[in-house]
Amino acid sequence: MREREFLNVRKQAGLVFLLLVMLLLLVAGATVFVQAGGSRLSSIKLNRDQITTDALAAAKNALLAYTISRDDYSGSSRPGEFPCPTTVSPDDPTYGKANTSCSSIPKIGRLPWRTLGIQEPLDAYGEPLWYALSGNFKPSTTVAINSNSLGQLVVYQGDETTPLVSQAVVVIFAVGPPVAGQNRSAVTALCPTTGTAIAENVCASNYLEAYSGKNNASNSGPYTLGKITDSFNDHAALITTTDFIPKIEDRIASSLSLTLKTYYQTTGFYPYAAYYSDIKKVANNKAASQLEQANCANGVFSGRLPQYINELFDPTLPNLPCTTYSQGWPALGANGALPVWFFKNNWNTTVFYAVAKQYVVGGSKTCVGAGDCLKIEGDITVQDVQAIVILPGIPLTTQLRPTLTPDDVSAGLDIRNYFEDLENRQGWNLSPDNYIYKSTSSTLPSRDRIIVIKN
Amino acid sequence: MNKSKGFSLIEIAVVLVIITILLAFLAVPLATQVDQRRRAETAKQLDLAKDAIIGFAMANGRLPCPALKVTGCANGSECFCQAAGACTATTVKPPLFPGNCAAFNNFTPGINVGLLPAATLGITPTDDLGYALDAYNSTTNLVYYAVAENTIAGVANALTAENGIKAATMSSVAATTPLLTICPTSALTCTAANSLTSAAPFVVFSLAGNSAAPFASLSAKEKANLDNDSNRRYVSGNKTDDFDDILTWESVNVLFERMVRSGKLP
Repeated sequence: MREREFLNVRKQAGLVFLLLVMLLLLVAGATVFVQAGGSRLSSIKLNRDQITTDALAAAKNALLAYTISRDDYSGSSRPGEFPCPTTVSPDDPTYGKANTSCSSIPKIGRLPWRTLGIQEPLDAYGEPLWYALSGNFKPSTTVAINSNSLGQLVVYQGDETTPLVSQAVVVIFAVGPPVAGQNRSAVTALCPTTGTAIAENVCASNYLEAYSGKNNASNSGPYTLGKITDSFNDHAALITTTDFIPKIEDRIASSLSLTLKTYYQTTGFYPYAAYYSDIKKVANNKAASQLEQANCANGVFSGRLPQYINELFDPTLPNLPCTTYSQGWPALGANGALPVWFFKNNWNTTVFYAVAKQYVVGGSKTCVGAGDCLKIEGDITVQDVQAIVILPGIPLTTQLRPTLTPDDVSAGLDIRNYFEDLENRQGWNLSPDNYIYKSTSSTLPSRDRIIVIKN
Repeated sequence: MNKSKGFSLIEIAVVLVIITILLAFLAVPLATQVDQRRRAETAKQLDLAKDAIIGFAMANGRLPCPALKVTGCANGSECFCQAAGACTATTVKPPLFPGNCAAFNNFTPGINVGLLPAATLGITPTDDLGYALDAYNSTTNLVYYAVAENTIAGVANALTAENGIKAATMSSVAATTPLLTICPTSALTCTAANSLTSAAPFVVFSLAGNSAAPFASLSAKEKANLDNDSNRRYVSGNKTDDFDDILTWESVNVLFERMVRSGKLP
């Protein structure tokens, strides 16, 4: 009996308890691991998605900042222009710097982050971003960029047969890890994108995939935001024409406002306008020496912003009327004259200008009688306006604007192709009695956008 | 009596050894995770500091000057020279000589290293003196700041003088290199050709884990962010055994775009 008790005691000495505790810990640990594992996998995916989204957003912001801050007065760079992609491998000393020429655009390549001046944005897998640019917005001396410019890249969503966006200006891709068949080494091999033998790490098809018949590795698209699967893992961010043109118009308006204010502060008056019909002489994107005249015209209160004002301008004298036209805007410093890119990119065919009759040379600079100053009606009425510029927004499908080929201005003479509001179609180039314009709070990219100039 | 015997010393020892081994396995990743979390939080703080600096430029038409811990400068506030040219005396008053910061980027470690002007920018958290702190919860973990001092198109201190960028014009500023040069850790004396950028208008950085270490003990990579290098070079890169600084900058294009948006440019 004592022996049996002894044996029982031995059995209960703790080993069984220890085993039970370990078993319990094992079961608990496994449960926690399974639950936490699922949660952790989900968390890792969310975290990766966030990193990729942040990288795409950083790239998009940097590209927009780059293009809006282009302001080379001599005209070699202009607002609205994006840098070329970089097409060399990450091992190349020039990697990250934009290719100097985009003659073969559209051409897909990597984001030129060095040219943008930012830290290289990488997706959640440490991969550089890729970048496709519409040819209408590349660095060029022959293609103008203005309100009429449209992106040419087409992007589809999933299995949809109609495009999600048919006028994208820029598509930025986060490529993710390689899928089956993609090799990203420096070994030279035939590249389906180029049709030539190049290093695998510069061949787009080793990074970007096709989905539902649309291939992101193609130079000109159409591109796709396909469903993420084992064989497709591209993410993308877009800059569309409807996003972009209003931003560029705001940028142009800032420059015009500054120039007109500087002119007024120096002379005491605003310049007369050029005739509304005076765009035949402005050829597309010619060199400064080739530009012909868009002349300031005496007694013209609304029309185009003149390229030439008068030949005898003296900042110490009151503003002279428009007499002869061999002189451009007065040299009032870098901010005091319209930049060369303004005319070289045909902005003067899309921007309209009106001045109050009391704010040109000889005017009283007071708003007493009807028509002394401009008036803007709409959601909010603005009285006693000294001068305005109007930007037309992107063209509606029914509006024909001049194409971007030289001297094609026929459609540009029909005001209906620019302004939607009746008030803004009247009175151009006729008399100061048509002094009422219309503005709405609409933010549609096609809406007329009136900028009030006031000193 | 025997039923209440409990565990033997050997059994408890075995359990303790197992627990110790398990804890040892957990402790190392835990320390790594804490450091990773601090680095990520510090990076976010630096991004917020960048936003605050850009916001300051949108409101004031210039970049702020660094704060300094020297006589004449106020805690956490930007600090200026009292005269044009080399700085012999400092002041907290609006600059009599536009944009002439008490220090821009050429620092003397331990004497006048540029700090983020947290009080001027309204940034938290700060230490008791009002200088911005990073996420390492140490009074030595301050947030550092340097700004370019270039004379551009005849405009002295174009980036820190009120409306200096406007006077110099965006195109002139954009064409000026170097402003501040950011080198990769693999090329400490980089040029425009092999830099990450040579046109950073300002940098914001944290010394991270070794903020209390004497300057002399730092690696060459880390010294580059605190020295008085006349080439205005800074170093950025992933954490390695001899480099753990966290440094960021903003593109000059982003600075321009925000200032255009606020009406301070073109």
